[in-house]
Amino acid sequence: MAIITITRGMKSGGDELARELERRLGYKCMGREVITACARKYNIMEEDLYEKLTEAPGIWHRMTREHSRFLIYVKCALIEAALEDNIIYHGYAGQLYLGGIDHVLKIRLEAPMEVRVANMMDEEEGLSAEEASALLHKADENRRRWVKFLYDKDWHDPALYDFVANLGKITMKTAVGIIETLIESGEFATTPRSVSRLEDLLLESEVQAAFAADDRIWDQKVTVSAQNGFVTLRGLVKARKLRNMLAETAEAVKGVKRCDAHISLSSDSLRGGIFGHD
Amino acid sequence: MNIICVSRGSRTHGREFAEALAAKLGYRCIGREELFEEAVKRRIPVGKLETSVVMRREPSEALSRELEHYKALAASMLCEKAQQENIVYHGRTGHLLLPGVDHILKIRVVLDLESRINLVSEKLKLSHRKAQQYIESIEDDRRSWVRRFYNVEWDVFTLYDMVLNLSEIGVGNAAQAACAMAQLPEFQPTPASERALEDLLVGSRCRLRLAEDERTRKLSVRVRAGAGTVHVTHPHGAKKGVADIPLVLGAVEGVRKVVCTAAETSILWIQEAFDPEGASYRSVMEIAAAWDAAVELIRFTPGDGETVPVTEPEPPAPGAPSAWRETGIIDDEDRSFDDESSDLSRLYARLIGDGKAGRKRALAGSRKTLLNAIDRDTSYRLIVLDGIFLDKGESTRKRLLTEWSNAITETVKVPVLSIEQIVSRYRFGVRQAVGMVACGLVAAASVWAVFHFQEPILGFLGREGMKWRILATAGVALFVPFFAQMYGTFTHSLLKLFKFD
Repeated sequence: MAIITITRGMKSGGDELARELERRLGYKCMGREVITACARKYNIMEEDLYEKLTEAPGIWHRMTREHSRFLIYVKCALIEAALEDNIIYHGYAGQLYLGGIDHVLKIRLEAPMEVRVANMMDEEEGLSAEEASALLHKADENRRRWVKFLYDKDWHDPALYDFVANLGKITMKTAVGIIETLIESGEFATTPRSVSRLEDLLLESEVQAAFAADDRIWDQKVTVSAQNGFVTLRGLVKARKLRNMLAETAEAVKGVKRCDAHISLSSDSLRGGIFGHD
Repeated sequence: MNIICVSRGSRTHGREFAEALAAKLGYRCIGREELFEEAVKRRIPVGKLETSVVMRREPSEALSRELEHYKALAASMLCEKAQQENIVYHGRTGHLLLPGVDHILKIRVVLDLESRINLVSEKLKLSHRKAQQYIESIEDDRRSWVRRFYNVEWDVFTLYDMVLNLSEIGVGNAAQAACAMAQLPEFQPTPASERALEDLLVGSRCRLRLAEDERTRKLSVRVRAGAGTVHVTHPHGAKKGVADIPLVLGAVEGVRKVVCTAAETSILWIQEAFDPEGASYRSVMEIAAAWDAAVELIRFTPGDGETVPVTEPEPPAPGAPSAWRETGIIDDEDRSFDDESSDLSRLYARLIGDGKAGRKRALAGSRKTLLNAIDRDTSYRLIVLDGIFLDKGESTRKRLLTEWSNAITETVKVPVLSIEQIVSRYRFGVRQAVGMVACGLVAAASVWAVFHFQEPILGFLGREGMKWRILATAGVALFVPFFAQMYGTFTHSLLKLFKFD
C-alpha cells in the first residue's frame, strides 16, 4: 500500500485523475479536507489558510514570515493524514512535504494549455479564452514563485516527481494504468522503516508547530530533527532564555521522549552575557 | 516500425533503462555513441562541434554546415534503422531529429542530484563538491547542445510523453511501465507517420550527400522531401555549386525530382478569402517591399477535420524571387481547392506581377492542421493572420483569432499580426502623423521651457534642505520619463515615416 501525491497546473485534470485512482485502487482521496482539518485543529480561518497556499508571498509577507507559520500547520495536518496510508493527496505541495518518504509515489500531471483553457471555460461561465489563458498563466507563475520562495525548488524540476504524464499525447486512462503498474510493482509499498520515518517527520512538524504557536520563539533559526521520539534542536539564538524556552516547548509536545538542545548563543549575546544582562 | 526515444542526462541509469526496455520488448537498442562513431568515420568534426557548444562560441559558417551535416547523418541513420526494425534509441532528445513522425514514444529519465553525485564521486574518485560541479557542468553543456541544435529547452515536460525518476523506481519496473505504454495504439505506426519517416529519410540522405560531395559541400542549404520530390533551398545569390545540386542528388535512393529555390525572407499571409484589390494587399506589400520579402499565401478554411487537401503543382512564375512547388501527398484524396479564377489565384498573379510571389496553398481543417502546414524550415519574418472565421460573430471571431495567433506564436516563434496591427505598427497613416506632430510639439516645448527657465530651474534643483531635495528628485523623476516618452514617440514615428524602422 502507498501514498500518492498529484501535482498539476490548474485545470489539468488532477481531480479527475485522483477520482479515477480512488476508484481503481480503493484508496482515499484527499485534497481540501486537509486544509479544513488543519484550520479546525489550529483554530485558523479556512479561507485565510487557503489564500496563503495559493498566493505567492509578497514583500510584506516575506518580511513577517506569516506564510511559513501557516504552512507548518498544513504540513502537520498532511502528515497526520498520510499516516492513515492508502491515500491520494491532490492538494498543495504534497511532493515537497512528503519528500524523502519511500512509500510516497509523486505524480506530476501536465496538460496542453489549450486543454486547460477549454476546461476553465467550461467551468467558469462567461470567461473568454484570453481571460482563461491569462488566469492560468498567472496561477502557474504564482505556484512557481511559491515553491521557489518557500522551498528553494524549481516546480518544473522533473527530479521532484517520480512520474510525469503528459496528457498531450497519452490519455487519462493510460496515465491511470501506468500509475497502477507502478503501485503494483511494490516499489512504493509501505515498510516499517518508511512508516517510522513518517512518524519522525510528524513529530518534527509538531514541534515546529508548537514553536509557531508562540510569538516569542517561532522565528528563531532552529532546525528540528526527530528519531523514534528523540528530538534534537540545532541553531543559534540570541539569549539563553530563548534556548530554554525552545527546549521546554519541544519537551511538552506529545510523543517527545527527550529533547537535546544543541543550540548555541550568538556572539552578540555572549558579549552581553559578560558585560550586560540577558 | 515502432520507435522509442529515451532522453537521458549523465549518470541517470538511462542507458540501463533503455537496454532493459529494449530487452523486454525485443527491440534493437541504439545509443548516441553509435551515431558519434559513424560521424567520426565520415570525418565530421564532432569534437569541435561539442567544444563550440561547451565554450558557448558562435559557430563559424563552416562549423554550422558541419552541424547540419551531423544532424543529417543522425537522422538518416535513425530513419534507416527504424524502417528495418523496432528500435529504442537513447541519447539527448533524439525524437527531435524525427519531426512529424507522430508514433514515437518519447521518454525522459531522471535521477536525483545526490545519487548522481555519489555515482560520479565513486567512479571518478572526486570529492562531493567536485562531483557536483562535474555533474552540473555536464548538464549545462547538454542543455546548451539541445538549445543550439533544436532551439528548445530540454527540461520542458511537454517535450516528452512521460518522465520517469529512477531514484525511486527501479530500472526493471520503469521499463515495465514503459512497455505498457509502448503497446498502446497512440504509439503504433500509421500510414501517415510512415510516409513522414520515409520523407525524412530521403531528405536527410540528400542533405548528407550534398555535405559529402566536393561540388556542393560548401553550400548552406535546407532540404525537405515529400513523396520523392526534394526541395533544396540555397542562399539567394549563391552561384557556385547550385547547378550541381540536381546532379549530386539524382542518384540518391528515393529521389524522383529535385527543385532548387533561392531562399528569401518570407511573409506568410493566412486568410479565409483574399481581396486582390483591397487595402490589406497594399499594407502587406509595403512591408514586403521594405524587407525584400516574398509573400507566401495560405487560404485557410477552418473546420473540425484533420484532412489537408492537395494543391496541384505548378510551374514557377517567371521573375518570382522564390517560387515553390508543392507535391506532398498527405492523404489519398485528390481535392483541389484552387482554380485560376479564385481569389487566391488572382492575388497570387498580382504578387507575381509585383515580383514578390512565394508559394500558395489552399487548406482546410483545424488549428492543428494549420500549425502542421507552417513550414518550420522557411525563415518567416512575419505571419499575417486575418480574415478567418468569417461565418462567426464579431466577438467570437476576435477571440478565436487571438487564440490562434497565440498558438502559432508559441509554436513557431514568429510574430503573428492582423492587418490592423500591421497598419498601426508599420505603416504611417493619419493617426500616426497626428501623434508624431503632437509629441514633437510637446518635446520641443519642453526643451524650450527648460532652456528658457534655466535659472529658476537650477535654483530649484540646488536649494538646500531635505524637503527641497526630495521635491527636486521627484520632479526630475517625473519629467525625464515624460520627456523621453514624447521624444521617443516622435522619433519612432519619424523613422516609420521614412521607413528606417
